[in-house]
Amino acid sequence: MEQQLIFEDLYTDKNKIDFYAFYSQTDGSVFEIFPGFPTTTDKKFVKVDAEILDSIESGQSNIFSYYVDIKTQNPQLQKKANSNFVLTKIDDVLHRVIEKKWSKIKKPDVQIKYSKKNEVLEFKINPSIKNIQWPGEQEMIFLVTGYNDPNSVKQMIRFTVDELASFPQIHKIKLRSKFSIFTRRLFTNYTLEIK
Amino acid sequence: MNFGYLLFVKTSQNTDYLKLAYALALSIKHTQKPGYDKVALVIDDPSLLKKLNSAWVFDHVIEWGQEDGWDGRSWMDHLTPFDYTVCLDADMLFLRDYSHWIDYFIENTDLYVCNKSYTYRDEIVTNKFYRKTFVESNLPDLYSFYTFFKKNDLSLEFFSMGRYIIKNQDVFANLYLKHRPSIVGTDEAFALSAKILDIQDQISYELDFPKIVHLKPMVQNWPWQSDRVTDHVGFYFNEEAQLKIGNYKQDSIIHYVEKDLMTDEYINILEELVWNNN
Repeated sequence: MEQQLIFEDLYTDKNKIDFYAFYSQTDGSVFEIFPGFPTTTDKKFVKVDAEILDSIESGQSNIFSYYVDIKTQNPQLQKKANSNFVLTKIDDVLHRVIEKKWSKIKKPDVQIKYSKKNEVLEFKINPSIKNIQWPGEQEMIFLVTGYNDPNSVKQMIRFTVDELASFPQIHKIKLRSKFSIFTRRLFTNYTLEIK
Repeated sequence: MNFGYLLFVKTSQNTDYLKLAYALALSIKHTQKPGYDKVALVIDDPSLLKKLNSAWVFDHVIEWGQEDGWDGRSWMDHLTPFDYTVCLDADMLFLRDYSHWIDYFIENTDLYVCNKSYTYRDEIVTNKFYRKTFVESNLPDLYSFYTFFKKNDLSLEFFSMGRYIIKNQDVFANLYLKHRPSIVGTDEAFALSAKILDIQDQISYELDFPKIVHLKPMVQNWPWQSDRVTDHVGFYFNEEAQLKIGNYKQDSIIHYVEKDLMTDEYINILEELVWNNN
């Protein structure tokens, strides 16, 4: 009981230290981040959340990585987009084509169908995207592999974007019931249908 | 022996935690031997279980939604239906039989909280990017994602203190935490509880297990910053429910963190394996 009373005595909002960013009201650039108290009401300051503080403190970012979006009613600290950096994700270079029954993609750019009966793998491009510009000589490579295992390659299938745009690509191939197809993601959406 | 795993699920708009807990329960049923494969689910809305194909993988369903977010885990000692319990996070996956760990814990300890985690390359995580509060506040490096306990006075005292800390987190944060987190979570509450009760050596001594691969991106010993582990390495779950991350086959419990990794496709694999086993 005695211990509880001590804790309650210590608990007041004034003990909670928050951090605020001081910013330019003309362009939203951040000048300074400093510790303060929740009583601060000056509009030139915005509260800095713990995640941003962590990021700055650890050197992951600095105050110049942020700006205050002054066009909104409740200005908040925002991270600047780094237009020079584009992350190439593993899924961009080794994308597993998800089976249609598990995929949320309704209109794939490239549709792959496998007929177990005819042992035929067919690649088709969505006619609605045929009008867009693409590097026609770009080679598309599809790895037919063990299920979800890009290291176990059964067959490699190659053709160009132009070839696919001209005609569906049909390949005779005998596959076990479970397999996967991996490819570099040249188009956004691919689906695989096994019948 | 009345042993089982305890999972907590709270309805969330952003994440289907029941789906994650279901996948974990399926993986437990698939990999653990009888007597070590019981699962209890604590959930605020049990009616959601109707959507699952095999809700029977949960041996016990306990309706409870008293606390917000994950604070409920500090009530694990009250809610467990088992005499010996391991409480896990929902976003985990079992890949092989770990029942010998349980034999050790039942034989040798009343309460054990995991004190290390591993990268997907089986290195012990040493990077403290997510643990600044622990370092600067000199807290024991506890991870609540794997907590073994027996129902006894020690665990009652430990969890009661944890609950009290979570309820009065501003007070305890001001008193004990130097790098104050926005929320005092279960990890911090358990670490503080162990420190205040001075039982950290008793409940979290050096062991080679449990081995949990923690897929938080900034602790993977990569020379670059990362938002998601799977931006950089593939997550390859095969039809035998074995997992490779990048080129590394996984044997430890996986704490996959990225909630969208557990797809309906993978759940279907686990369901088929469990159905075939039964």
